[in-house]
Amino acid sequence: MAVGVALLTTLAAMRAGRIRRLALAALALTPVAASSLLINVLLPAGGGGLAAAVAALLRLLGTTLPLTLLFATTDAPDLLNDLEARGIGRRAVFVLGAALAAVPRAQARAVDVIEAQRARGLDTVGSWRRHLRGVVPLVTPLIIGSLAEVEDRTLALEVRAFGAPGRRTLLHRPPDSGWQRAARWAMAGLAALGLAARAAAVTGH
Amino acid sequence: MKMPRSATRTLVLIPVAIALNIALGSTVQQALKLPIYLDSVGTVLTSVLAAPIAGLATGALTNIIWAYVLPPPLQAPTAGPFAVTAAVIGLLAGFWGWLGLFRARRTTDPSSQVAALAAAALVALVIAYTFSRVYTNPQRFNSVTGFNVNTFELSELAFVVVIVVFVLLGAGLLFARRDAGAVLALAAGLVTGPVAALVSAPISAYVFGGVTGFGGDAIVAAFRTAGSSLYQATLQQGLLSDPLDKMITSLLVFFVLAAMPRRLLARFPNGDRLVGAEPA
Repeated sequence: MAVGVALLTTLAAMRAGRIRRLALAALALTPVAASSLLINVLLPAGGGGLAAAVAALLRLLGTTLPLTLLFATTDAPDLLNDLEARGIGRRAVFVLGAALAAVPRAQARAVDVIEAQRARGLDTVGSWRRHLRGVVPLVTPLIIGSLAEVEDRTLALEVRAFGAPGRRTLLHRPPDSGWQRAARWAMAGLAALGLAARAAAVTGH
Repeated sequence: MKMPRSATRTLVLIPVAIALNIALGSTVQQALKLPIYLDSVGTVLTSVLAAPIAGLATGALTNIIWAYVLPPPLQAPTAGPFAVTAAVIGLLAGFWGWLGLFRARRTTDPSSQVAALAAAALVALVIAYTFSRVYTNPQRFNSVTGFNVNTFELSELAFVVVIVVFVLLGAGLLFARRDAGAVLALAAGLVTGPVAALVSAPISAYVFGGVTGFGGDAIVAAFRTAGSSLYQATLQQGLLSDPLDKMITSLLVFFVLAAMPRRLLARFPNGDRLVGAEPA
């Protein structure tokens, strides 16, 4: 089953030209795979053996790849806009959208803080005790900077009437063909079928 | 419907905290190379400042975005199923915050001394009880926890490590820094740890086969070679790593909150419980 899902996703990705992104996601799983093989196969007390290790990995691929493909092919703001048009709350949409936008900013801030503290002589290379001493100087500025950002953004949103009542008018609508609509319903149906089959298998045992 | 001011603030806090979680869990983690996750600082912060539900959302969304939405150099597919754990951590932290465990206290204050002593006594009681029930001899260990007799020594060692770290940190805070409030936050972290471990263990055992590509895998392997089943080994590993991680996370959040201006804290929904009474 997981093999099928992974294969189908790979085919879809090839068609959409996003196979690289998918391959990278799969590559991100290699440390897990290596570790899993080591523990399940090589250890004397290892329980599962090769089959268990492969099954766990396939299950992981089956859940990761389709979702990765979704976000590799779909522009997140487009998706969120459409969700809002379909009645998902504005607050939920804001939280998701803002989180996606905030990640690179936080990442950049983290790099800045690390470099600044290194320039001041913070040692992140030596023994683990030195590493432990680096926790506070690296983490505290990041948190305080983030909270300052919360302050700025709250004011900006208040000024732009984020809390105002009523629905907003969307100016941009993503294209949606009848074909795509049919495909969506088919996928939902397949998912329901899969769940039903799974439930039947579990209760039948 | 008019939203109260603090609602907008909470809504802004959640995404920033998610980003903070990811930045700390990936970039800073890589720079420090320590065997702790650090990826729930933002969750605990949101929960303590705003509300348990906000923390729950922060925790769950962090893991989902991290696992599936971000582009590859940051993507961590293994984080996805652990969204459940992150949500529970957020919920618990909100409860601790609501109880006022993250409030900065002055040690000279009699009430905070009483609170710190009560917390210390409570923790000591729980430790003594656990020890007398579980760790007196291997047979009892086996009959109470169901863990393999052969892992007795290893498990006892892990228990002792956690307790020693707690006592050392607690004593340091109380006597060197004279900070009663930090001890309460530390205790909150210590209690959160086993809960997080109990929630993660089945995920890590049944979804990942006990392997998440993280430093903890070696500990899981050690418990398995000693004779634990897969589920037991992941639980035993979590019972060691999670309390340590959550104690550090709690302390970090506590110190940051204590360093923040009171008027900034008071603007968040849970601000009253963080600020407390005006110091004399």
